Amino acid sequence: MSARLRWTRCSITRWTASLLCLFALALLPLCALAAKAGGKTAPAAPELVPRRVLVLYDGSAGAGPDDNIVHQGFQMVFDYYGLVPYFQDINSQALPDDAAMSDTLGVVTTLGQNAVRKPRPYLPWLLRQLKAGKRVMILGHLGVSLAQGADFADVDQLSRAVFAQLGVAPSSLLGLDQRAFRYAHKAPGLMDFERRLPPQPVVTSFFEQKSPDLKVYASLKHPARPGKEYPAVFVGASGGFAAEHHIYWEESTGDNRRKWYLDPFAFVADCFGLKGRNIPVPDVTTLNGLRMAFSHVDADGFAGYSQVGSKQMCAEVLRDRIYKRVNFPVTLSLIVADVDPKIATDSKRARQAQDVARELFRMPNVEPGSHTYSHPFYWNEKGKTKTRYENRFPYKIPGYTFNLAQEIDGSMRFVSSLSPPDKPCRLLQWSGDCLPTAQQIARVDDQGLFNINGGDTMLDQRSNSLSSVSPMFRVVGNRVQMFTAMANENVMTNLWTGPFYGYRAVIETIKRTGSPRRLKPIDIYYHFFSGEHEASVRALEDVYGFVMTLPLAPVFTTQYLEAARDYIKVRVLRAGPGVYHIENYGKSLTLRLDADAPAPNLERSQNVLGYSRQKEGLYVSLAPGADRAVLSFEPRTGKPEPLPYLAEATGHVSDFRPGKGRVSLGYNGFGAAGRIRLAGFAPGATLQASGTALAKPANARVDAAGFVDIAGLRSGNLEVAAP
Amino acid sequence: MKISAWQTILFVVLIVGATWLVFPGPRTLISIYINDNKAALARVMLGRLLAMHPNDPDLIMDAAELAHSDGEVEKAIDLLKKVMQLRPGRKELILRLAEWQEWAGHPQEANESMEAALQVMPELNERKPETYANRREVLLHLLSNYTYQGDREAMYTTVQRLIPLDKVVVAKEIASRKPLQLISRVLEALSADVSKNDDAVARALLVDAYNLRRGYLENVLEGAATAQIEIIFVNDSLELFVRGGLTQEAVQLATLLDQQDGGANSRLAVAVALGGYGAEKPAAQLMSDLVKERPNDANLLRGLAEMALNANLPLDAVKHLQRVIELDPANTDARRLLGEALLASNRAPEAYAMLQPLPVGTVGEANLLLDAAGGTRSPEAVAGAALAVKDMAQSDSVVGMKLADAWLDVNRPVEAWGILRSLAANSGGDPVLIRKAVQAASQTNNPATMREVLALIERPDFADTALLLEVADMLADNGELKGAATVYQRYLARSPGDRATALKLAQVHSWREAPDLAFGVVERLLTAYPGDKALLKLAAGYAEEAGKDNDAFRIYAEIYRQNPKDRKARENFMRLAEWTGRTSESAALLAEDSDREPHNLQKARQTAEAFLAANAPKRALPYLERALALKTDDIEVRRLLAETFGWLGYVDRQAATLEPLAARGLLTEDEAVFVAQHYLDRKQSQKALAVLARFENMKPIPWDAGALLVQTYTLMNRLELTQQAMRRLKSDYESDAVRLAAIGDMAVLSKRMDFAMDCYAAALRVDPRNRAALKGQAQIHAWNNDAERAIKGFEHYRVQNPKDIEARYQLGELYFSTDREGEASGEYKKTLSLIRQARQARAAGKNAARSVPQ
Repeated sequence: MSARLRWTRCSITRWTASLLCLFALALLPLCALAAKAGGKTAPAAPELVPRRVLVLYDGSAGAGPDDNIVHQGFQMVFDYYGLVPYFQDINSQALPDDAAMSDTLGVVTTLGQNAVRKPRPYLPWLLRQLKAGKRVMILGHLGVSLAQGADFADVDQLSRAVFAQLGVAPSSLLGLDQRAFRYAHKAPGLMDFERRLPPQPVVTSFFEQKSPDLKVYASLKHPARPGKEYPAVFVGASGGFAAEHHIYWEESTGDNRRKWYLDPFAFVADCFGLKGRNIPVPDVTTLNGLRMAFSHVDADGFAGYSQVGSKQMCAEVLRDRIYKRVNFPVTLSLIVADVDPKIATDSKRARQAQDVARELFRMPNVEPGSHTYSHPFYWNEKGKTKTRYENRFPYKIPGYTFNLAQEIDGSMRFVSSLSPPDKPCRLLQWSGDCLPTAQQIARVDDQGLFNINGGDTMLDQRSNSLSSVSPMFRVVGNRVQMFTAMANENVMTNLWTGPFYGYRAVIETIKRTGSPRRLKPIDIYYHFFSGEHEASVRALEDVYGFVMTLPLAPVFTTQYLEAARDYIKVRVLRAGPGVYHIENYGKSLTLRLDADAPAPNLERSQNVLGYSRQKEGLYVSLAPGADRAVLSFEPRTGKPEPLPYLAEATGHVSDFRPGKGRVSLGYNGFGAAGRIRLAGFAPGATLQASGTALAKPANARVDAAGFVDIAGLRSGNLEVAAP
Repeated sequence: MKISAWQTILFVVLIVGATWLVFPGPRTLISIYINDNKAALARVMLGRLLAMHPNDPDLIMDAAELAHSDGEVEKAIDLLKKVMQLRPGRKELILRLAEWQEWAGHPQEANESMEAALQVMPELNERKPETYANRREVLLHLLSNYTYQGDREAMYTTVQRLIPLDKVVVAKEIASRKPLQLISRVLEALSADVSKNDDAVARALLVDAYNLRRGYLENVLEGAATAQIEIIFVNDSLELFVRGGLTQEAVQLATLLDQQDGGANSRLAVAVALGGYGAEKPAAQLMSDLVKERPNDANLLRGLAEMALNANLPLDAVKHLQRVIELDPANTDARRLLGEALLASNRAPEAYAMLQPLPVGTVGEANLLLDAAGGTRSPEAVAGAALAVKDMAQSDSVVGMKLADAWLDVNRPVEAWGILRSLAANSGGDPVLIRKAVQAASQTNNPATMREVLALIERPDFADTALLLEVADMLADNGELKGAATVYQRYLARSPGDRATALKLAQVHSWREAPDLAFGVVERLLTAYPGDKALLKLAAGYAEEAGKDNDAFRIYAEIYRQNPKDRKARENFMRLAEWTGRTSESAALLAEDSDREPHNLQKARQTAEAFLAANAPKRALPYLERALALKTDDIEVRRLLAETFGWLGYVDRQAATLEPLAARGLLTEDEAVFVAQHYLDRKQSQKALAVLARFENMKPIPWDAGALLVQTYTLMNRLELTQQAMRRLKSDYESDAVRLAAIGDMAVLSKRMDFAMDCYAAALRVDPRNRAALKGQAQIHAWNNDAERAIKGFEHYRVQNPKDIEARYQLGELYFSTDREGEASGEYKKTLSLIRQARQARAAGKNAARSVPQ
């Protein structure tokens, strides 16, 4: 072998060896990764995604959990983000221990400057929560004054420690004439949201920024400290703070209407770190991709004379003009004192009213409800609203004094007696101030019945603010009062002083609470008074007419309330990257994600019927009747071929069985004009729909995006497959 | 009577005239129909008239009103606009339009219409002052709209338009009250100043100040402007001026007002406002001047005290208030404030002494008294306060709770509980009250109280989870175990993952001597924490305590599986395995253990023994082999292995196992016989002989060994030794008929017939009915062709064993050979009959094996 050849062979060997070594080195991290991955044999237990938010308020001056901006403003935002608030009086209730806080996302304080009487257990507790990763949203004040004297040095330190977690340090206003403060910065879109801040700030809290990562919504400046800015509304790593007078503006006269200074959606999302999480949130505005819609009528004016028909009762006018003509589910209520001949002022008319009620309750689009026995104007004998009324009842019932059993059980029994046996009364519609006590709500709950009323959502020119959108419910002690989704005509007709067509304004509310954010289902809620004037009847016709043009899932009020009741109990657990377990969802069958969220991997999901991507969000539909659903966003592997899924349905869908190019399901919806939209079929294919849900089999063509619509559905089974 | 023509004409004219007058015309009828809710009739008539007079503004207006009452507001607006074109500049029409536009949800258009109406309304026309009011009304409406819409510029311009108008329209009202007059002057001056520049803050101040005055004016107009409201108005206005930088104006105004009142309240309000906005120096200066001027002004001193309290300087407040009380000893209000200041200065006993004599009328007063009483730490003080607020505490939960707090502060939980019990019971399940009641109850240490607490939360849906836990802990701490268990269970139903509480519940069950319930609790926990060591131990203990041996075994097995080196765990496991007869399960577990430590002799052996005990010898084999491989000289293990082989019928392996013992001479007699037999079976006679050698000198020689010796020698063809061995056997067993007959049989096999005959004879001597001997003897006679003796022998044998087919056949043959055909035939028949019986018996046996019990 020549020397050259030997050298060449040696070189080749060396290079080969070097390359092999490099390859081996490159493989090492991969092997380590593989080993690490392989080591994860036992999947970690699903981790609860906390939905509860603890709200601390000051009840010492007789204020209840609903007398604060959280219930009156932010709770609606919580609803939107799937959060469930629970309220505690800082001065009379013990702070929850760490175990009780385990399912709580964060803490909101809505307290005055010196509201907290015992700051020592409160501040260490709050600090502990912050250190445990809970987030805070401080509205107005922490509740503890910073300069309480030598005895409170530790309190002062604790307060500073709390704010340090947020990225600021409280500063002294001493020597600064506060009248000289002006705004240095207002973040566009985040402040001056519905109303511009006044030119001269009102300063009640004063901070220096410590963290460079602070998201400042609004900051102050002072001529005595040139070049410096002091954050007034800001969000840091552990939560946010909004100074008093920087959250909302309130009308000083009239209706005390409000408007937001700050964007409450952005502020809540920033404070609780909700942005970009891509975590599904329960949503009761929607059923199977379509906005839920229902209607309920308070009984006031049922037997009243109408000016529209000749000697007709209002109920008869609405029967002929609305209920017989409009194919929409509606809950009609009665007041016993109005229609029971034994106690009504005009017993003959009461008897006639009963006949009308019987006829109405027999109609398939009508569900019975009770608007109580005597229509109490106020429910809480010790409540603040008592002074607004001269009498407790509008009816003179001889010898009657307030009797809870009579108002609730008795009235519902009475209504049931006028209704067909298969359609008993299951709903109590609070009357008057609609401020029942926990005990009164419990009386309804304990019988497995539903309650509603209170909460006057309006979003129109007159109430042109999201602050007029009410939350889903009111927490009363350990109970929940379900609010209506929209205000009734009383407000819009200026308590029936005119304009009588005022209820037409609800159309704007319906539009603006549906988009760009879907904040509420549709609730056509009014009194039988609406049958009194031609203008009010026409307004109703217009409202129903408008609603009927929308893509909706029409349900009875009790069906919405079932979903709202179960919404509170839904548990969302993170079972892995992009995998969620949804537990206890009962009849709260919709989850929402951001509109640009990735589509779920339905093959890896369980008890998920499908989804619908809309500009308001990605709505995911869950199968009813299951204990748990699994929602997966894991990447698809490409195999097996995706199966068809449910995009939208006007009613409930069960027994959903997708197969290759085919689907069978059970449809349970209102009326006989239901519609279902399925997706995931081969574009352009012709399918045949058959089953008891259809009067006769029908062909349907799949569009270019793989969607197919089947219309004319009634409750029954449906098979969709290639003919 | 003659009626003239003119009379007739007059009559007709009268009738027509009266009719014309009495019955309304079509235009009037439309209004009547609209008012009578006969819209359809009105519509018809209007249609007809409009067809005739399409541009009649009155008719179009009627149509607009009709459309409006029908709820067709947009149509009504269009018609109204048409009327306005026909009748331009009509203020009432423009305002009507504005109203409808507002109702129709067009606020901007409504504003524009109102502005348009203002254009046609007379401005400051002193000849018609009533028109100013209309103009003001429109402007106020606009101001409300602009305010809600947040249009600052429009708000400002509207206010600027209103200020001069107010000077005329509400001049009388303004003049009627001095403060209003003075403040209005400042407002007007401000209005003039602001109009000269573009200061946004000043403009906002003007709007705020105007709104403040407007509110007060409305009170004045409504006759509701009480002295109290006036004070609020003045103070708010002064505060606003201070905020807006009009400090000098505010001081001057306040001085004027004070001069008018003869007091110092207004300047005090200015000082308070200055202090509140961080202008401490001017505030202090003003206050100093005030005190110098009015050292004995109780109101001023009181104001100073309030300022001090707001500034967290309660000691200063105390000083001022004490001076107030010196000046005015009957001033209840000052006394109450002094009580508050003393309390804020941590001087609760003095505060209580100050407050106690004062009447208690409001919740705030009650709370203050109770705070002071609680702060004294004196039960007597709390008792005094309780008496003062007795009624309020029963009806108002805030006062009730405060009183309870005070009782708790002086360590009197029974009294606190008494108040809270009734408040909580009547609260409809209010968790706040119930929690408080429970806290009080927990301090009473009274079992009866504990039971009452249970009644408070007895509602199955009581939802305050944290409180449930508190109650349960409290009951447990106080020995109310049954109640504690119930409440813990309810808590756990809501918080199933709370391990610590579940363990507490288990403990409570255990204390209640209900280990089965305790076990149930821990077992449920184990589903959430599978394999948790502490829980397993606890569960096993409870299970054993409850006599749940099967469960205890299962759990001990799990513990042992997790901790194979834990001796205690092993002991427990084996103990329970034994108790529950689960030897195979324990053996399987031991096997796992041994497999983990294959070099552990002890474990291998224990495993094998366990399998043997569990009657699973086949599974014992590998462990015995493992044990033997680990210690080949362990004779005991070897024997056990051999025995197990034998048990399983693995004779070769049994023998092979025993062989090393044979070499060492360690075999037992039985083993030696077995090994010898094994060798013989394999024709290894030398080896067999070596094993059997040990028996040679025994007396008597063991029968099996002797018989094997005979077989060995026979195999080796050592006839002499065979004979010798047989003789020795015959000698050793001369009184045993069976063995003697067997030796005879051996002799037959060795073809030693004579010796065989001797043996049979010896056997028959011992037992004349010995079947083997009788048959052997007869057989040898037959072989020797001694038919008669053979026949006799078989006949004797037949008596003893009539069903021996072979013997009966031979006897038949012998009869036949001796010409006794009849008897031969009988024997043949009998033989055939026995063969049939035997077949039937075999068949029956097979069927019986297959049959199934019914």
